[in-house]
Amino acid sequence: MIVERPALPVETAPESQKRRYIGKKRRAVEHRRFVLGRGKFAGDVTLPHLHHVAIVSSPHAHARILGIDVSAALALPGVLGVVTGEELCAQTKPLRQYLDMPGVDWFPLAGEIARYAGEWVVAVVATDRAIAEDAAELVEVSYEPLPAVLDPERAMANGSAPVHASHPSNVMYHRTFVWGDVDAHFAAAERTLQARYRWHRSATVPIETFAVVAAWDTGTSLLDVWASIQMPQYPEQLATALGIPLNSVRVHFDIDVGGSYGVKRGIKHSVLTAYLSRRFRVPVKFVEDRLENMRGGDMHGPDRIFEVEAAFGDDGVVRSLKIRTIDDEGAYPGRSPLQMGKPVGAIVGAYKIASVRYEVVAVVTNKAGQVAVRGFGQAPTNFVLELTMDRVAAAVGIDRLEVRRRNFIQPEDFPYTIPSGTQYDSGNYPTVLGKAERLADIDALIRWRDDARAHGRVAGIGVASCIEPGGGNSIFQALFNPKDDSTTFPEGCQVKIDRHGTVSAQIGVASSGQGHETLVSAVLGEEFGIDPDQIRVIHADSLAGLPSQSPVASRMAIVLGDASVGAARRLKAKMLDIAAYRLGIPSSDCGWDGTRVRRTDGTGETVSWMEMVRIAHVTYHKLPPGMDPGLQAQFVLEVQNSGRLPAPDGRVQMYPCQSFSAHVVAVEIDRGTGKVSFHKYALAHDCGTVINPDIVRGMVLGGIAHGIGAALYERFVYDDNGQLITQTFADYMMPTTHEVPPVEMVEHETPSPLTTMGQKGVGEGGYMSTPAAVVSALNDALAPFGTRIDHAPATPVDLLERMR
Amino acid sequence: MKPVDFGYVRPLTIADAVKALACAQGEGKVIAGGQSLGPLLNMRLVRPALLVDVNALSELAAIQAGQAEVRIGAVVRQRAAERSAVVARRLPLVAEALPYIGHVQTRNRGTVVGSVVHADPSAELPLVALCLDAIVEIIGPAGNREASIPDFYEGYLSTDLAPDELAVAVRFPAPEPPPGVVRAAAFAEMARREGDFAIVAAAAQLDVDVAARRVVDARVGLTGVAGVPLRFAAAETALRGAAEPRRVFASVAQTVSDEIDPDSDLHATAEYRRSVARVLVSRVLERAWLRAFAGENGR
Amino acid sequence: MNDCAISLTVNGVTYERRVPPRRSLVDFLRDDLALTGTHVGCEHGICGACTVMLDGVPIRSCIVYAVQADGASITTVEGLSPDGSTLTPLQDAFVECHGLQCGFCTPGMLIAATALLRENPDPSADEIRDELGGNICRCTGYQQIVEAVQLAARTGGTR
Repeated sequence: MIVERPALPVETAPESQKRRYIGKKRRAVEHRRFVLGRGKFAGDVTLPHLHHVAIVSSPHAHARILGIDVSAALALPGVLGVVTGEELCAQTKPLRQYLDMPGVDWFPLAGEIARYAGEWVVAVVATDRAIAEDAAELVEVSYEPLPAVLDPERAMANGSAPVHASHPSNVMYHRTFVWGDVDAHFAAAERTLQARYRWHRSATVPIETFAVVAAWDTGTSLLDVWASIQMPQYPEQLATALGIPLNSVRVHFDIDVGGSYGVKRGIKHSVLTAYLSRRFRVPVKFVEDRLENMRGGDMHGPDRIFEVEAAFGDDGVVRSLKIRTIDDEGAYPGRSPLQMGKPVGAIVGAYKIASVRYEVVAVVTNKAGQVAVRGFGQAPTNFVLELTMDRVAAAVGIDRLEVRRRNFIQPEDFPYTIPSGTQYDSGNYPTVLGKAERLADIDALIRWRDDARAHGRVAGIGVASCIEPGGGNSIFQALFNPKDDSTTFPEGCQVKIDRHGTVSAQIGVASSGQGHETLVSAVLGEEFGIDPDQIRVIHADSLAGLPSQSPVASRMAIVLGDASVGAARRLKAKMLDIAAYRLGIPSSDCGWDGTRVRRTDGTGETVSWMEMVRIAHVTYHKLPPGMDPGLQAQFVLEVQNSGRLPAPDGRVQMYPCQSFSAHVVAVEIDRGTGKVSFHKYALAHDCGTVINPDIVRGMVLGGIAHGIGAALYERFVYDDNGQLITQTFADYMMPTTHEVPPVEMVEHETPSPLTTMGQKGVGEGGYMSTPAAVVSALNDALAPFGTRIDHAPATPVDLLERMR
Repeated sequence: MKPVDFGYVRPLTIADAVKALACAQGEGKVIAGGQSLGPLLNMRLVRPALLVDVNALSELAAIQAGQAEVRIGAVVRQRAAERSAVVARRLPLVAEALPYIGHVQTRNRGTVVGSVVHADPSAELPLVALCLDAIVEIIGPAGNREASIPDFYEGYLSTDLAPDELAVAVRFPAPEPPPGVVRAAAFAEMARREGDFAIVAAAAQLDVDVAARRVVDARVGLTGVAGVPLRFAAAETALRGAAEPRRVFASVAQTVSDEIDPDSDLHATAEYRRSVARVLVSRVLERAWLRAFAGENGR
Repeated sequence: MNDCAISLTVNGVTYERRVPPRRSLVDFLRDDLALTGTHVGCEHGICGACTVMLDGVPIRSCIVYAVQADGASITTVEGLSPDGSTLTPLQDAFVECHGLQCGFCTPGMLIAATALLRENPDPSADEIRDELGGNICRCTGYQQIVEAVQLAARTGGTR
């Protein structure tokens, strides 16, 4: 079925070869306010009569709530009110979860049952946060502890204690996809191998916790929300949960978000806070404290067990893969099981693997819920894929880089459709890998490693390649839930040229450091031929803005970039018509030349920018008949190559564009302590046409830092009583300047045929590649000991054990 | 994470500080650097009725070098000690340990005495205080008293300091070594990241007769392996008087490792701590010995 | 009512206020003085987002209480620029080198880097990493921050 979408007006004057702004070094426009300390974060928002929230949480991993006595809390001066789950669950609709799980409801506060230690049970509203915390301590909750289940494999077993009694089992989703003739390929294979991997629970944990201010205005019946948000359909889910019309919700996206990397989805924080505002008729601010965030914010990441089998030849070429993954969702699955769906779009990585069997299991346990994390499930998936390729190389005795080269999809194969149905747009993996090898000076690294070993030191080299899908669509929703038929995943941009001729654009998202204002102004500057720093980009609120899906999935350069181009070209077409009419000639006899329109018949007559502006805004009598006054255009783009439902066997076009990177890493492990240090970190990166080199570099380096955290340091640990014992930054270890090495990076550009500038996405790739590259290096270092690591994070204890 | 409501005084004299603590009837807490106490207050793990801020007690802000000791007052910042020529010369083990404590910013505010008194069994300064036979000078309603470190540390995060007492200084014995003897120290730490609390840390100080290539005095200790820092008398005895001691460093380290009985926790297993203890003790002994001859620390 | 009277100078301006003793310095700066440039990340002294200068020295303002700052001189990120608009060489270098993304850790980084450059006008990359080791950034991976401080050292430091 062909999906109608607005076509991008074709550029008539081909000047795109000589780009003035795209690809050039340029300072991000957002930076100035941040270095002056003038960022506007949700926690900075203040309103008259603002009240604050503190939370009472469950100490038990699983318990029935027998009774709640709030009288002492209510009596404390400064306390405005207290809300329990009983009230909230009756007065709001359940929060959106994406699997088909009848009877499994998720509310901001526990109703009758608390399902994890740290789950929010009571909310206190007071004149300040300290008093709210004092009152929270006075709330008395009586619990009847229930059996808890913490191990996902045990939770799957028959007879396990149920997390949701109304659901037949703790397995919330189980599906096996088979693409291609897996059984035949395994039967015919010269070799097979099996491996089990464990990706422990961690997350990208921003330094800013989730913060939300909600103000219900009884005069306008409008709910204003300022939040540290990165979430598709946030206004919609607020409206649904609160039972109010969507046009009564105004989310302010001109809030600076202090880092998100996927996790700032605080829908439960937001519904709670909005409810409290409406209930108590005051603006309410809720800034999670760090303990609330770590323990009860439902912002943990994928928590996976993988079993992988590969069928391959003596030449190291992999024919078929079987991947089984079990994901421990915590108590409320929410959107997180879909993180087993998105990887379908790159399930074979960069390799020409012919068939795949992919089995996914989403199981609930009595732990905090998961949330979308950078890569949306692809970091753990790429981890096991790349480590499996290393195992293949070891099995056949061929160099790991050579095995990858032999398996790569080749440049001439594009566009290339992988067995799961996703078409990769473009790529040149061998060239990028070669660039990484040369940048890393792989021969010198090998000499360094071998010399270190000769001196009794433990050293290793790691490699990883990674497909970074970009563009986003939410088709994994339909993939995992046949009742979900959503295929629309748009992004919009509105551009205006005002009466004084200055350009402004509106986008519909909040940014968390990706530099969208810089992106859009560069793209518009390129289109109009004007200095991007003269272009104003603002973040429209959800009532004023166009359809938008938030900056997830490394999508904004692709969709917002093209939406901006689309809006600019609509405007340019209109201005061309104005100029042509002014010159008294057909529009086809004119063309853009810089910021003016020139007639193409050789007379050289031009119409200037300001002339066109004036005609549009001031002198209606000179405007072409029937044309709207003013200069404004919208463009709403459905993400490229999307809009189609999955096939019954699950074959599906996931994201449209595939960026790619190859990482080469050298590490040393302290023989006596197991501590890891980096000797070298080098990578080659390809995200198609680079729009802003510093932004691209920043995204990659930041993703790598997150990846080092996941590989070596970060883990949410629960004890046998279901208590989170890594609740603070003393125990949840994030890399500092000492743990992240300098990274050398070289860029390659394989443009996408799907986008106007050839741009692809960037943002998640580092995080999806680095854990594999680091553990690959650890395994190379451990090779003389005959041991290996198959999990993340790999701690010094793990490493010392393996060096005995 | 806001603390419970507490009262606050910032006395200008020690006597006033003691009086304030007494009035609080056991519900008072002294705050100096606040780097350990602040987080505990914010998490409501400590819930005083009164905070007694000693930062205005200017007579406690001094590092005093005496004939045979160095006295560090309660308000001396770790950063000041790090930069002190007196500490570098007279207390090389303290100087070695200081850069491992937290980060520059926490050392800007945190105090030497505060860390010693807080008694975290993974912290660096309590170990150093133990190795150097430090004395804690205490003032309370009943007057002045002194506590030697081994007596002072009673167990995990607990000392014999009463709630109405104030530790005003830690006195480190620092006798000049005899002529021909060089004092050298080394500190090594295994932490998950730089600046974290130690999983295991080792301290060693050797007084070396450089001409005879003989150890005259030895201090060897570990932190992170028990509820209190530990010192190893048997190891010190084995080293004292030993000539060319490098050949016994490994066995000394092994006996230390055999002697300890660490716990397993979130960050490390007992076996890991034992292994790493052995490795770090070897390393600090080796480093201290080499320093004695290189003229580093060397006094 | 437990409140104490305090008088302190922040970015050159003297303020007299009454505060409950338990109010942290960072909450006082943000809520009482509306200086929201300093940020709260953990409230237990580890992330460094709350770093301000207290009597010329960078400290974590989440574990210092406002009452303790009575009589002190505080500099926050808002006080680095001489007029609130002109960027210092350090601020300019952060922009030039893309030494930030979301901006949340940036004020703490700037204060820590300011302190470093005052003491050590030409720091090595290792010295920069040491000084900033207590400031956690989740966006940048630190490298562009180190480059920014190095550029600042070459272009005039904290002037």
